[in-house]
Amino acid sequence: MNCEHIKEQLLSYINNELDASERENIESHFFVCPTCKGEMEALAATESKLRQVYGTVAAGVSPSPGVLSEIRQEVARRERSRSTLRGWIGLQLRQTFARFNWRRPVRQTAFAGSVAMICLAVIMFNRGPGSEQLSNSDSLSFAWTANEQAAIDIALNDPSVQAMLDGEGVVYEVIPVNGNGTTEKYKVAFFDVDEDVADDISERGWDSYSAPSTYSDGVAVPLSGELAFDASNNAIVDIEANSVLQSHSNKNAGASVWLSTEQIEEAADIAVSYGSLGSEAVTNGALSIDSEAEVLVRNVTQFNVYDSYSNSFSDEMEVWVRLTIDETSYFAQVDLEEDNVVKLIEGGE
Amino acid sequence: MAKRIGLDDFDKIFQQYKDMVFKTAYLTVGNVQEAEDILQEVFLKVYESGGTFDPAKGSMSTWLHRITVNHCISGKRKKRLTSYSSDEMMEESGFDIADVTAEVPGEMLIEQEECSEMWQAINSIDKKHRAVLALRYFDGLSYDEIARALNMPLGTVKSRLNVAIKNLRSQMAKGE
Repeated sequence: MNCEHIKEQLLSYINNELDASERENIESHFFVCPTCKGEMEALAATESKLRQVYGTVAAGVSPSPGVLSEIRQEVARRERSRSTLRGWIGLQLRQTFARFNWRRPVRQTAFAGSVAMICLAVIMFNRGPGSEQLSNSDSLSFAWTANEQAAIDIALNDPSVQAMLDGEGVVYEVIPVNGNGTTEKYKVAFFDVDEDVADDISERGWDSYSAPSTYSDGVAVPLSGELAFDASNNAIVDIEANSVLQSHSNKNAGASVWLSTEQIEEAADIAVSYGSLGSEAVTNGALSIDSEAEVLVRNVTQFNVYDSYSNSFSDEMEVWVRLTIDETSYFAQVDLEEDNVVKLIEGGE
Repeated sequence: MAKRIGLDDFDKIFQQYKDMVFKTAYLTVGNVQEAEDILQEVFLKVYESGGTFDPAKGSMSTWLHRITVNHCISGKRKKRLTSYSSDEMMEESGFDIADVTAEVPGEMLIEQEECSEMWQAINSIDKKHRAVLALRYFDGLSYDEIARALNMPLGTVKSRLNVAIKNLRSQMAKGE
Protein backbone atom coordinates (compact mmCIF):
# COMPACT_ATOMS: atom_id res chain seq x y z
CA MET A 1 0.00 0.00 0.00
CA ASN A 2 1.65 3.26 -1.09
CA CYS A 3 1.38 6.70 0.50
CA GLU A 4 -1.04 8.07 -2.14
CA HIS A 5 -3.50 5.29 -1.49
CA ILE A 6 -3.16 5.80 2.26
CA LYS A 7 -3.80 9.53 1.94
CA GLU A 8 -6.98 8.88 0.01
CA GLN A 9 -8.26 6.83 2.91
CA LEU A 10 -7.24 9.07 5.76
CA LEU A 11 -10.58 10.85 6.10
CA SER A 12 -12.39 7.54 6.29
CA TYR A 13 -9.81 6.30 8.82
CA ILE A 14 -10.25 9.34 11.05
CA ASN A 15 -14.03 8.98 10.94
CA ASN A 16 -14.00 5.24 11.67
CA GLU A 17 -15.52 4.39 8.34
CA LEU A 18 -13.11 1.61 7.34
CA ASP A 19 -13.40 -2.07 8.01
CA ALA A 20 -10.98 -3.76 10.43
CA SER A 21 -8.50 -5.01 7.83
CA GLU A 22 -8.24 -1.65 6.04
CA ARG A 23 -7.76 0.06 9.35
CA GLU A 24 -5.02 -2.35 10.34
CA ASN A 25 -3.22 -1.82 7.03
CA ILE A 26 -3.17 1.92 7.56
CA GLU A 27 -1.99 1.68 11.15
CA SER A 28 0.78 -0.65 10.05
CA HIS A 29 1.79 1.92 7.46
CA PHE A 30 1.97 4.63 10.15
CA PHE A 31 4.75 2.66 11.90
CA VAL A 32 6.96 2.95 8.86
CA CYS A 33 5.80 6.31 7.47
CA PRO A 34 5.80 9.27 9.86
CA THR A 35 4.82 11.56 6.96
CA CYS A 36 1.48 9.82 6.50
CA LYS A 37 0.93 9.71 10.23
CA GLY A 38 1.66 13.43 10.41
CA GLU A 39 -0.74 14.01 7.51
CA MET A 40 -3.43 12.07 9.36
CA GLU A 41 -2.94 14.21 12.48
CA ALA A 42 -3.01 17.41 10.46
CA LEU A 43 -6.16 16.28 8.67
CA ALA A 44 -7.83 15.44 11.98
CA ALA A 45 -6.92 18.89 13.29
CA THR A 46 -8.34 20.51 10.12
CA GLU A 47 -11.57 18.59 10.48
CA SER A 48 -11.86 19.61 14.11
CA LYS A 49 -11.20 23.22 13.16
CA LEU A 50 -13.74 23.06 10.36
CA ARG A 51 -16.45 21.94 12.78
CA GLN A 52 -15.50 24.74 15.13
CA VAL A 53 -15.49 27.39 12.37
CA TYR A 54 -18.77 26.25 10.90
CA GLY A 55 -20.33 26.17 14.35
CA THR A 56 -19.10 29.67 15.17
CA VAL A 57 -20.06 31.20 11.85
CA ALA A 58 -23.45 29.49 11.73
CA ALA A 59 -24.26 30.64 15.26
CA GLY A 60 -23.62 34.22 14.21
CA VAL A 61 -26.09 34.40 11.33
CA SER A 62 -29.80 34.05 11.02
CA PRO A 63 -32.34 35.07 8.41
CA SER A 64 -33.85 38.48 9.06
CA PRO A 65 -37.39 38.55 10.46
CA GLY A 66 -38.41 40.60 7.43
CA VAL A 67 -37.41 37.87 5.02
CA LEU A 68 -39.07 35.14 7.08
CA SER A 69 -42.24 37.18 7.17
CA GLU A 70 -42.09 37.83 3.41
CA ILE A 71 -41.79 34.13 2.66
CA ARG A 72 -44.72 33.27 4.89
CA GLN A 73 -46.84 36.06 3.40
CA GLU A 74 -45.96 35.06 -0.15
CA VAL A 75 -47.01 31.48 0.51
CA ALA A 76 -50.27 32.67 2.10
CA ARG A 77 -50.87 34.93 -0.90
CA ARG A 78 -50.27 32.06 -3.32
CA GLU A 79 -52.64 29.91 -1.32
CA ARG A 80 -55.38 32.56 -1.60
CA SER A 81 -54.61 33.20 -5.23
CA ARG A 82 -54.70 29.47 -5.97
CA SER A 83 -58.20 28.95 -4.60
CA THR A 84 -59.51 32.14 -6.15
CA LEU A 85 -57.94 31.55 -9.55
CA ARG A 86 -59.61 28.18 -9.95
CA GLY A 87 -63.10 29.51 -9.93
CA TRP A 88 -62.32 32.97 -11.13
CA ILE A 89 -60.69 32.14 -14.44
CA GLY A 90 -63.46 29.75 -15.33
CA LEU A 91 -66.08 32.29 -14.48
CA GLN A 92 -64.49 35.09 -16.41
CA LEU A 93 -63.83 33.05 -19.52
CA ARG A 94 -67.25 31.53 -19.43
CA GLN A 95 -68.89 34.88 -19.02
CA THR A 96 -66.80 36.55 -21.68
CA PHE A 97 -66.90 33.85 -24.29
CA ALA A 98 -70.57 33.25 -23.81
CA ARG A 99 -71.07 36.89 -24.59
CA PHE A 100 -68.89 36.94 -27.70
CA ASN A 101 -69.85 33.45 -28.83
CA TRP A 102 -66.18 32.63 -29.20
CA ARG A 103 -66.33 29.13 -27.83
CA ARG A 104 -64.87 27.60 -30.95
CA PRO A 105 -61.69 29.64 -30.90
CA VAL A 106 -61.26 28.77 -27.25
CA ARG A 107 -61.40 25.09 -28.02
CA GLN A 108 -59.02 25.55 -30.90
CA THR A 109 -56.51 27.15 -28.62
CA ALA A 110 -56.71 24.58 -25.93
CA PHE A 111 -57.04 21.49 -28.09
CA ALA A 112 -54.91 22.11 -31.14
CA GLY A 113 -51.79 23.13 -29.27
CA SER A 114 -51.74 26.52 -30.90
CA VAL A 115 -48.93 28.78 -29.81
CA ALA A 116 -51.42 31.50 -29.22
CA MET A 117 -53.18 31.32 -25.93
CA ILE A 118 -56.17 32.96 -24.50
CA CYS A 119 -54.96 36.01 -22.75
CA LEU A 120 -57.05 37.64 -20.21
CA ALA A 121 -56.82 40.05 -17.37
CA VAL A 122 -59.47 41.65 -15.32
CA ILE A 123 -59.58 44.46 -12.88
CA MET A 124 -62.41 46.14 -11.10
CA PHE A 125 -61.63 49.61 -9.91
CA ASN A 126 -62.87 53.11 -9.42
CA ARG A 127 -61.10 55.34 -11.84
CA GLY A 128 -61.43 57.65 -14.83
CA PRO A 129 -63.62 60.58 -15.71
CA GLY A 130 -66.60 60.84 -13.45
CA SER A 131 -64.89 58.33 -11.21
CA GLU A 132 -67.21 59.16 -8.35
CA GLN A 133 -69.90 57.37 -10.31
CA LEU A 134 -67.82 54.26 -10.91
CA SER A 135 -68.48 51.31 -8.70
CA ASN A 136 -67.23 47.79 -8.32
CA SER A 137 -69.86 46.70 -5.86
CA ASP A 138 -71.20 43.84 -7.95
CA SER A 139 -68.13 43.18 -9.99
CA LEU A 140 -67.81 39.47 -9.26
CA SER A 141 -71.37 38.34 -9.30
CA PHE A 142 -70.97 35.60 -11.89
CA ALA A 143 -71.78 32.02 -10.97
CA TRP A 144 -72.17 28.63 -12.56
CA THR A 145 -75.69 27.42 -13.21
CA ALA A 146 -76.86 24.51 -11.07
CA ASN A 147 -76.30 22.06 -13.94
CA GLU A 148 -72.86 23.42 -14.72
CA GLN A 149 -71.86 23.21 -11.06
CA ALA A 150 -73.22 19.65 -10.91
CA ALA A 151 -71.13 18.74 -13.98
CA ILE A 152 -68.01 20.21 -12.36
CA ASP A 153 -68.64 18.32 -9.12
CA ILE A 154 -69.17 15.03 -10.94
CA ALA A 155 -66.01 15.56 -12.97
CA LEU A 156 -63.89 16.47 -9.96
CA ASN A 157 -65.09 13.43 -8.01
CA ASP A 158 -64.34 11.03 -10.82
CA PRO A 159 -61.14 8.98 -10.34
CA SER A 160 -60.21 9.16 -14.03
CA VAL A 161 -60.45 12.96 -13.96
CA GLN A 162 -58.53 13.15 -10.68
CA ALA A 163 -55.78 11.04 -12.18
CA MET A 164 -55.74 13.18 -15.29
CA LEU A 165 -55.46 16.41 -13.32
CA ASP A 166 -53.01 14.96 -10.82
CA GLY A 167 -54.53 17.01 -8.06
CA GLU A 168 -54.44 20.39 -9.72
CA GLY A 169 -56.35 22.13 -12.46
CA VAL A 170 -58.36 25.19 -13.28
CA VAL A 171 -61.89 24.87 -14.61
CA TYR A 172 -62.13 27.27 -17.50
CA GLU A 173 -65.17 26.18 -19.42
CA VAL A 174 -68.36 24.18 -19.06
CA ILE A 175 -70.19 23.65 -22.35
CA PRO A 176 -73.47 21.83 -22.88
CA VAL A 177 -73.01 19.09 -25.46
CA ASN A 178 -75.74 17.37 -27.38
CA GLY A 179 -77.68 15.01 -25.28
CA ASN A 180 -80.48 13.27 -27.10
CA GLY A 181 -83.08 15.41 -25.44
CA THR A 182 -83.38 13.05 -22.51
CA THR A 183 -80.09 13.56 -20.76
CA GLU A 184 -78.02 16.56 -19.84
CA LYS A 185 -74.41 16.32 -20.94
CA TYR A 186 -71.68 18.85 -20.42
CA LYS A 187 -68.08 19.10 -21.33
CA VAL A 188 -65.99 20.33 -18.42
CA ALA A 189 -62.60 21.65 -19.51
CA PHE A 190 -59.60 22.24 -17.26
CA PHE A 191 -56.30 23.95 -17.66
CA ASP A 192 -53.62 21.77 -16.16
CA VAL A 193 -51.33 24.26 -14.51
CA ASP A 194 -47.74 23.22 -14.87
CA GLU A 195 -45.03 24.24 -12.46
CA ASP A 196 -42.17 23.45 -14.80
CA VAL A 197 -43.59 25.76 -17.43
CA ALA A 198 -44.07 28.28 -14.66
CA ASP A 199 -40.43 27.95 -13.66
CA ASP A 200 -39.32 28.59 -17.22
CA ILE A 201 -41.42 31.71 -17.30
CA SER A 202 -40.01 32.84 -13.98
CA GLU A 203 -36.54 32.59 -15.43
CA ARG A 204 -37.63 35.07 -18.06
CA GLY A 205 -38.52 37.53 -15.38
CA TRP A 206 -42.24 36.90 -15.05
CA ASP A 207 -43.88 35.83 -11.87
CA SER A 208 -46.02 33.06 -13.23
CA TYR A 209 -49.01 31.36 -11.68
CA SER A 210 -48.76 33.76 -8.82
CA ALA A 211 -49.38 37.03 -10.53
CA PRO A 212 -49.42 40.08 -8.30
CA SER A 213 -52.83 40.37 -6.79
CA THR A 214 -54.97 43.09 -5.47
CA TYR A 215 -58.20 42.77 -3.62
CA SER A 216 -61.59 43.86 -4.72
CA ASP A 217 -64.37 43.14 -2.27
CA GLY A 218 -62.14 40.57 -0.63
CA VAL A 219 -61.47 38.67 -3.83
CA ALA A 220 -57.96 38.30 -5.16
CA VAL A 221 -57.72 39.49 -8.73
CA PRO A 222 -54.53 38.85 -10.69
CA LEU A 223 -53.42 42.05 -12.34
CA SER A 224 -50.49 41.06 -14.43
CA GLY A 225 -48.15 38.16 -15.00
CA GLU A 226 -48.54 34.85 -16.72
CA LEU A 227 -50.52 31.73 -16.22
CA ALA A 228 -48.59 28.70 -17.33
CA PHE A 229 -50.23 25.47 -18.30
CA ASP A 230 -49.24 22.44 -20.29
CA ALA A 231 -52.47 20.71 -21.09
CA SER A 232 -56.15 21.03 -21.60
CA ASN A 233 -58.05 18.23 -19.94
CA ASN A 234 -61.65 17.48 -20.69
CA ALA A 235 -64.38 15.40 -19.17
CA ILE A 236 -67.75 14.69 -20.77
CA VAL A 237 -70.24 14.47 -17.94
CA ASP A 238 -73.76 13.09 -17.89
CA ILE A 239 -75.35 14.81 -14.93
CA GLU A 240 -78.52 12.71 -15.01
CA ALA A 241 -76.51 9.51 -14.89
CA ASN A 242 -74.17 11.19 -12.39
CA SER A 243 -71.15 9.91 -14.28
CA VAL A 244 -68.20 10.87 -16.43
CA LEU A 245 -68.65 9.38 -19.90
CA GLN A 246 -65.11 10.01 -21.05
CA SER A 247 -62.06 12.03 -20.14
CA HIS A 248 -58.95 12.86 -22.04
CA SER A 249 -55.95 15.14 -21.95
CA ASN A 250 -54.43 17.25 -24.70
CA LYS A 251 -50.84 18.16 -24.07
CA ASN A 252 -50.34 21.76 -24.94
CA ALA A 253 -47.44 23.62 -23.37
CA GLY A 254 -47.87 27.32 -23.24
CA ALA A 255 -48.32 30.38 -21.17
CA SER A 256 -50.74 33.19 -21.09
CA VAL A 257 -49.53 36.76 -20.79
CA TRP A 258 -51.66 38.96 -18.62
CA LEU A 259 -52.09 42.62 -19.28
CA SER A 260 -50.13 44.80 -16.91
CA THR A 261 -51.96 46.88 -14.35
CA GLU A 262 -51.06 50.02 -16.25
CA GLN A 263 -52.40 48.64 -19.53
CA ILE A 264 -55.64 47.60 -17.88
CA GLU A 265 -56.16 51.01 -16.34
CA GLU A 266 -55.19 52.74 -19.57
CA ALA A 267 -57.64 50.64 -21.59
CA ALA A 268 -60.47 51.38 -19.18
CA ASP A 269 -59.58 55.07 -19.25
CA ILE A 270 -59.67 55.13 -23.03
CA ALA A 271 -63.09 53.48 -23.13
CA VAL A 272 -64.61 55.69 -20.44
CA SER A 273 -63.05 58.86 -21.85
CA TYR A 274 -64.35 57.99 -25.30
CA GLY A 275 -67.86 57.59 -24.01
CA SER A 276 -67.58 60.82 -22.10
CA LEU A 277 -66.73 62.74 -25.29
CA GLY A 278 -70.22 62.13 -26.63
CA SER A 279 -71.76 60.19 -29.47
CA GLU A 280 -69.80 61.96 -32.23
CA ALA A 281 -66.59 60.45 -31.01
CA VAL A 282 -67.71 56.89 -31.36
CA THR A 283 -68.10 55.07 -34.65
CA ASN A 284 -71.67 53.99 -34.29
CA GLY A 285 -72.69 56.56 -31.74
CA ALA A 286 -73.82 53.95 -29.25
CA LEU A 287 -71.51 54.83 -26.42
CA SER A 288 -72.34 58.06 -24.72
CA ILE A 289 -71.69 58.80 -21.09
CA ASP A 290 -73.23 61.89 -19.54
CA SER A 291 -72.22 63.24 -16.20
CA GLU A 292 -75.23 61.71 -14.46
CA ALA A 293 -74.66 58.19 -15.75
CA GLU A 294 -73.66 55.34 -13.49
CA VAL A 295 -70.61 53.80 -15.11
CA LEU A 296 -69.23 50.42 -14.10
CA VAL A 297 -66.00 49.17 -15.61
CA ARG A 298 -66.67 45.44 -15.45
CA ASN A 299 -63.46 44.08 -16.83
CA VAL A 300 -60.63 44.50 -19.29
CA THR A 301 -59.87 41.44 -21.38
CA GLN A 302 -57.15 40.59 -23.85
CA PHE A 303 -57.60 38.00 -26.60
CA ASN A 304 -55.49 36.58 -29.33
CA VAL A 305 -57.22 37.39 -32.62
CA TYR A 306 -58.76 34.34 -34.19
CA ASP A 307 -58.00 33.99 -37.89
CA SER A 308 -60.85 32.09 -39.51
CA TYR A 309 -58.88 31.68 -42.74
CA SER A 310 -56.07 29.70 -41.14
CA ASN A 311 -58.36 28.34 -38.46
CA SER A 312 -55.91 29.41 -35.76
CA PHE A 313 -55.02 32.27 -33.50
CA SER A 314 -52.61 34.93 -34.63
CA ASP A 315 -50.09 36.70 -32.44
CA GLU A 316 -52.14 39.85 -32.77
CA MET A 317 -53.99 40.80 -29.61
CA GLU A 318 -57.26 42.60 -29.07
CA VAL A 319 -58.09 44.42 -25.86
CA TRP A 320 -61.73 44.73 -24.87
CA VAL A 321 -63.27 46.75 -22.09
CA ARG A 322 -66.65 45.78 -20.75
CA LEU A 323 -68.65 48.68 -19.40
CA THR A 324 -72.07 49.00 -17.91
CA ILE A 325 -73.56 52.43 -18.41
CA ASP A 326 -76.88 52.92 -16.66
CA GLU A 327 -77.34 49.15 -16.64
CA THR A 328 -76.66 48.72 -20.36
CA SER A 329 -73.57 46.68 -21.24
CA TYR A 330 -71.06 47.66 -23.86
CA PHE A 331 -67.92 46.00 -25.15
CA ALA A 332 -65.38 48.46 -26.45
CA GLN A 333 -62.35 47.24 -28.37
CA VAL A 334 -59.50 49.56 -27.45
CA ASP A 335 -56.31 50.31 -29.35
CA LEU A 336 -53.77 51.08 -26.66
CA GLU A 337 -51.21 52.45 -29.11
CA GLU A 338 -53.62 54.71 -30.96
CA ASP A 339 -55.41 55.65 -27.76
CA ASN A 340 -58.88 55.12 -29.20
CA VAL A 341 -61.89 52.84 -29.36
CA VAL A 342 -61.92 50.91 -32.64
CA LYS A 343 -65.07 48.83 -32.22
CA LEU A 344 -68.10 48.92 -30.04
CA ILE A 345 -70.70 46.28 -29.33
CA GLU A 346 -73.81 46.90 -27.29
CA GLY A 347 -75.54 44.08 -25.54
CA GLY A 348 -75.42 41.56 -22.80
CA GLU A 349 -76.96 41.79 -19.42
CA MET B 1 -46.52 17.46 -12.22
CA ALA B 2 -45.54 19.31 -9.10
CA LYS B 3 -47.97 19.39 -6.22
CA ARG B 4 -48.48 22.07 -3.68
CA ILE B 5 -48.77 21.39 -0.01
CA GLY B 6 -51.19 22.98 2.43
CA LEU B 7 -50.35 25.96 4.59
CA ASP B 8 -50.29 23.90 7.79
CA ASP B 9 -47.81 21.44 6.38
CA PHE B 10 -45.77 24.28 4.96
CA ASP B 11 -45.63 26.04 8.33
CA LYS B 12 -44.40 22.93 10.09
CA ILE B 13 -41.63 22.38 7.56
CA PHE B 14 -40.73 26.06 7.50
CA GLN B 15 -40.46 26.33 11.28
CA GLN B 16 -38.44 23.17 11.60
CA TYR B 17 -36.01 23.64 8.73
CA LYS B 18 -35.68 27.34 7.97
CA ASP B 19 -32.50 27.73 10.03
CA MET B 20 -30.94 24.60 8.58
CA VAL B 21 -31.63 25.76 5.02
CA PHE B 22 -30.48 29.32 5.64
CA LYS B 23 -27.29 28.34 7.43
CA THR B 24 -26.36 25.65 4.93
CA ALA B 25 -26.94 28.18 2.16
CA TYR B 26 -24.94 30.87 3.95
CA LEU B 27 -22.04 28.51 4.64
CA THR B 28 -22.03 27.56 0.96
CA VAL B 29 -22.44 30.94 -0.70
CA GLY B 30 -20.83 33.08 2.03
CA ASN B 31 -23.23 35.97 1.61
CA VAL B 32 -26.24 36.78 3.78
CA GLN B 33 -28.36 38.36 1.08
CA GLU B 34 -27.77 35.51 -1.33
CA ALA B 35 -28.49 33.00 1.43
CA GLU B 36 -31.79 34.74 2.11
CA ASP B 37 -32.64 34.65 -1.58
CA ILE B 38 -31.94 30.93 -1.55
CA LEU B 39 -34.04 30.53 1.59
CA GLN B 40 -36.95 32.18 -0.22
CA GLU B 41 -36.51 30.08 -3.33
CA VAL B 42 -36.17 26.83 -1.44
CA PHE B 43 -39.30 27.35 0.65
CA LEU B 44 -41.39 28.62 -2.25
CA LYS B 45 -40.26 25.46 -4.01
CA VAL B 46 -41.24 23.44 -0.95
CA TYR B 47 -44.69 25.00 -1.01
CA GLU B 48 -45.15 24.58 -4.75
CA SER B 49 -43.84 21.03 -5.01
CA GLY B 50 -43.86 19.64 -1.46
CA GLY B 51 -46.32 17.01 -2.66
CA THR B 52 -43.56 15.38 -4.68
CA PHE B 53 -41.51 14.65 -1.56
CA ASP B 54 -41.26 10.89 -1.16
CA PRO B 55 -40.20 9.69 2.32
CA ALA B 56 -39.26 6.34 0.79
CA LYS B 57 -36.44 8.08 -1.09
CA GLY B 58 -34.97 9.87 1.91
CA SER B 59 -35.71 12.15 4.82
CA MET B 60 -37.19 15.63 4.58
CA SER B 61 -33.83 17.11 5.58
CA THR B 62 -32.08 15.16 2.80
CA TRP B 63 -34.64 16.47 0.31
CA LEU B 64 -34.19 20.02 1.57
CA HIS B 65 -30.42 19.74 1.50
CA ARG B 66 -30.58 18.71 -2.14
CA ILE B 67 -32.83 21.61 -3.11
CA THR B 68 -30.69 24.03 -1.11
CA VAL B 69 -27.38 22.93 -2.56
CA ASN B 70 -28.82 22.88 -6.07
CA HIS B 71 -29.95 26.48 -5.62
CA CYS B 72 -26.58 27.44 -4.13
CA ILE B 73 -24.59 25.94 -6.96
CA SER B 74 -26.87 26.88 -9.85
CA GLY B 75 -26.41 30.54 -8.96
CA LYS B 76 -29.67 31.51 -10.68
CA ARG B 77 -31.34 34.01 -8.45
CA LYS B 78 -34.92 35.02 -8.97
CA LYS B 79 -36.30 38.36 -7.95
CA ARG B 80 -36.46 38.97 -4.21
CA LEU B 81 -39.86 39.32 -2.69
CA THR B 82 -38.64 42.45 -0.98
CA SER B 83 -35.55 44.44 -1.63
CA TYR B 84 -33.16 45.19 1.18
CA SER B 85 -29.85 46.90 0.85
CA SER B 86 -26.89 44.69 1.62
CA ASP B 87 -26.00 46.97 4.53
CA GLU B 88 -29.45 46.51 6.02
CA MET B 89 -29.16 42.79 5.56
CA MET B 90 -25.79 42.60 7.26
CA GLU B 91 -27.06 44.80 10.04
CA GLU B 92 -30.11 42.65 10.56
CA SER B 93 -28.57 39.23 10.39
CA GLY B 94 -25.05 39.22 9.07
CA PHE B 95 -22.17 37.39 10.63
CA ASP B 96 -19.17 39.54 11.34
CA ILE B 97 -16.16 37.83 12.85
CA ALA B 98 -15.14 41.22 14.22
CA ASP B 99 -18.21 41.23 16.48
CA VAL B 100 -16.92 38.10 18.12
CA THR B 101 -13.25 39.06 18.33
CA ALA B 102 -14.08 42.48 19.78
CA GLU B 103 -15.42 40.90 22.92
CA VAL B 104 -12.87 38.17 23.60
CA PRO B 105 -9.20 38.93 24.26
CA GLY B 106 -6.11 36.73 24.74
CA GLU B 107 -5.83 33.12 23.65
CA MET B 108 -9.43 33.06 22.54
CA LEU B 109 -8.65 35.91 20.18
CA ILE B 110 -5.89 33.87 18.54
CA GLU B 111 -8.34 31.03 18.06
CA GLN B 112 -10.87 33.35 16.54
CA GLU B 113 -8.32 34.83 14.22
CA GLU B 114 -7.64 31.32 13.04
CA CYS B 115 -11.38 30.85 12.61
CA SER B 116 -11.53 34.01 10.56
CA GLU B 117 -8.63 32.88 8.39
CA MET B 118 -10.23 29.53 7.81
CA TRP B 119 -13.59 31.12 6.98
CA GLN B 120 -11.89 33.34 4.44
CA ALA B 121 -10.13 30.34 2.98
CA ILE B 122 -13.41 28.42 2.79
CA ASN B 123 -14.93 31.29 0.86
CA SER B 124 -12.11 31.24 -1.64
CA ILE B 125 -12.75 27.68 -2.84
CA ASP B 126 -15.53 26.88 -5.30
CA LYS B 127 -19.15 26.39 -4.26
CA LYS B 128 -19.47 22.71 -5.04
CA HIS B 129 -16.62 21.99 -2.63
CA ARG B 130 -17.98 24.44 -0.06
CA ALA B 131 -21.30 22.64 -0.24
CA VAL B 132 -19.86 19.27 0.74
CA LEU B 133 -17.85 20.89 3.52
CA ALA B 134 -20.98 22.56 4.91
CA LEU B 135 -23.01 19.36 4.74
CA ARG B 136 -20.25 17.42 6.44
CA TYR B 137 -18.96 19.82 9.08
CA PHE B 138 -21.98 21.99 9.82
CA ASP B 139 -24.91 19.69 9.12
CA GLY B 140 -22.95 16.68 10.31
CA LEU B 141 -24.09 14.40 7.51
CA SER B 142 -22.40 11.05 6.96
CA TYR B 143 -20.85 10.25 3.58
CA ASP B 144 -23.93 8.19 2.73
CA GLU B 145 -26.26 11.03 3.63
CA ILE B 146 -24.25 13.50 1.57
CA ALA B 147 -24.34 11.07 -1.35
CA ARG B 148 -28.14 10.90 -1.12
CA ALA B 149 -28.50 14.64 -0.65
CA LEU B 150 -26.34 15.46 -3.65
CA ASN B 151 -27.44 12.46 -5.69
CA MET B 152 -23.87 11.37 -6.34
CA PRO B 153 -21.92 8.14 -5.78
CA LEU B 154 -20.29 7.59 -2.41
CA GLY B 155 -16.85 7.56 -4.01
CA THR B 156 -17.48 10.98 -5.54
CA VAL B 157 -18.45 12.36 -2.15
CA LYS B 158 -15.25 11.09 -0.58
CA SER B 159 -13.04 12.38 -3.36
CA ARG B 160 -14.84 15.73 -3.37
CA LEU B 161 -14.31 16.09 0.37
CA ASN B 162 -10.66 15.19 0.00
CA VAL B 163 -10.21 17.76 -2.75
CA ALA B 164 -12.16 20.37 -0.78
CA ILE B 165 -9.92 19.97 2.27
CA LYS B 166 -6.81 19.90 0.13
CA ASN B 167 -7.84 23.13 -1.58
CA LEU B 168 -8.75 24.67 1.74
CA ARG B 169 -5.39 23.87 3.30
CA SER B 170 -3.68 25.16 0.20
CA GLN B 171 -5.56 28.46 0.51
CA MET B 172 -4.70 28.71 4.20
CA ALA B 173 -1.04 28.03 3.46
CA LYS B 174 -1.09 30.93 0.97
CA GLY B 175 -2.39 33.23 3.66
CA GLU B 176 0.33 32.38 6.16
